[in-house]
Amino acid sequence: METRNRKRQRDLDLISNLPRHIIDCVLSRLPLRDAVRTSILSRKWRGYSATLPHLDFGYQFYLTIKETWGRSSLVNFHYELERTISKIFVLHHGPLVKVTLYIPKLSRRAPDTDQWIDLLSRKNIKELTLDYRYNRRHLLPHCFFSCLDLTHLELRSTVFAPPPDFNGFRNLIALKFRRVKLKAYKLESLLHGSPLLQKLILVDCSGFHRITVSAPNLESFQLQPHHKFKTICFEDVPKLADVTVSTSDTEAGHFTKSSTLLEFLTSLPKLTRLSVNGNLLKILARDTLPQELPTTVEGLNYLKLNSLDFADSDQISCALCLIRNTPNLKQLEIQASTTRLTNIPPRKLGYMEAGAPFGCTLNRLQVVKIELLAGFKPELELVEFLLANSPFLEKIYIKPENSLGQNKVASDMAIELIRSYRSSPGVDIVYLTD
Amino acid sequence: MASSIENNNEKLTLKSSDGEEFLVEKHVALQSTLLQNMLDSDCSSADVIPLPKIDARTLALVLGYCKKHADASSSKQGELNSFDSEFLKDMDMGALFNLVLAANFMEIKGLLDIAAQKIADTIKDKPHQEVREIFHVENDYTPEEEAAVREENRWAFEGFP
Repeated sequence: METRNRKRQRDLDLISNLPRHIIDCVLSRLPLRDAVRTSILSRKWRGYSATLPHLDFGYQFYLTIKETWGRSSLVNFHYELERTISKIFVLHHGPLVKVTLYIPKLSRRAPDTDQWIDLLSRKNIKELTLDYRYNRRHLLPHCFFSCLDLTHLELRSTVFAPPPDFNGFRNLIALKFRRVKLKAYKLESLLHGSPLLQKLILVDCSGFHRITVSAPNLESFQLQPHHKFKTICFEDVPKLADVTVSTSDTEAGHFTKSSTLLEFLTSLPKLTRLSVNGNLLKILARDTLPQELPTTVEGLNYLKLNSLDFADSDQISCALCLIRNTPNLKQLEIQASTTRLTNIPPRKLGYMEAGAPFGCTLNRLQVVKIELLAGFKPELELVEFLLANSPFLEKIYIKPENSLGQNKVASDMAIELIRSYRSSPGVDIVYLTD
Repeated sequence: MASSIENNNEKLTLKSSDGEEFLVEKHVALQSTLLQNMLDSDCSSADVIPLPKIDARTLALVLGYCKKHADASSSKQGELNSFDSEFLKDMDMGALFNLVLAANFMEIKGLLDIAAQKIADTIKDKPHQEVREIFHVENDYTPEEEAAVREENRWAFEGFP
């Protein structure tokens, strides 16, 4: 009887006998705690949980450990965090595909993460995130540079100083550096040695003042440079479609050797999405603005302008030059910057009248979002300009800056805009307030 | 309908394990990598394609999923997401496991993903005794072994009976 019952139970058990990759599919969708807890279901499940291909020791895991052990003193909790991660690594068999490590700012001794990295380098790790939260950047050990199977890499607060024989990550597809310092090494060498790279994000990195982006497969690029950064240029980027560049400063030295707007756009033949901020527009506009933009902008259908200062005529002229000359623009997003509005702007700047003649029609423009408006004349003029020249505009979202006067700004604008000419009769103007 | 005429209105026949035949438009069948590869490798669409591991009830569900995803344009992602979440909502475990195996066999990644997510959601935050009951998992540990496994990963069991 006993064995017959057991057999019947086994037949009913649907989940334990699923193909292994489906089990992994399920386990990888669980927080690590729940995935590890399945080890107690049966012997088979203990095996599954000892060979998890994905180990996510990210922020969520950190919080779980903190909740479990945090009631005792701080030192103990950090010790438990290190001990738990080490134990899971020790118990783990087989290859690891994806590992995320969140390493908090610690009160005393830092955990021996280099030992973990060494283990990962011997497990053919493919997707790795090392999220250090130390103030002082962590120097990556040499064994890190032998993780040659990496396809996805994300680093935070580290010093990237490869040994002389490092030739890049030849399988790398996506790379994100945040607060990473390159030491005695050039980003160009990394790009050159990682020819499959499709996505590159650089935020607040140091150790270089200029970059020449040359990457045959790069599709998406994002740069938020360090304040000392000077130059960016694109050389050989035949597939680069999505570009986000912002710069914090327009002061002397910064970006001085960068290209002009014309050169910038000419170097990006496949551009479809562009996101830039007002400071960068000011730099790109420092010479005379071109009457027409190169044909490469024909592919551009999404434009986002961040921190656009409506009191700065250089920024606005450059923004207008871009908008006017992008024939296939579908979606336009603008985030106004109110930082300089303490300086009283001229009552009427008349950018629209003073610039190039109106002769442009934005035949593809469908959606416009304008955020953080303060209710200044130039802002209103821009909205009027877009309404007058976009025959197929479907929606325009207007969101005043978050302040006590928010509703008044919205209602004043609404009154002004009722009178203005609209080339798209069906356009829907939506006012957003908090 | 107009679009299917543009697509030459090609159809193919799939046969379930219990012998039921389903006539499927080609663009719907292409949601399955398995069928796509068969069509690419010169498998005549006049033939009946047998799917010996998938019963009629499951196949009908799978094809419903494929049709919705094949017909929706890419701009309607929101609509597809709500379809996906409704699709598995009240499904019993037996049907869900048949579906996940069918999605795996026919190589329909999106369906495999949402079915795996549904199984994961069922496990998440539940005590292991309850998980054993839901999925009929037989506990083959001795009490000592079970205690040892629990001790090994004490952090994970904190707060669970």
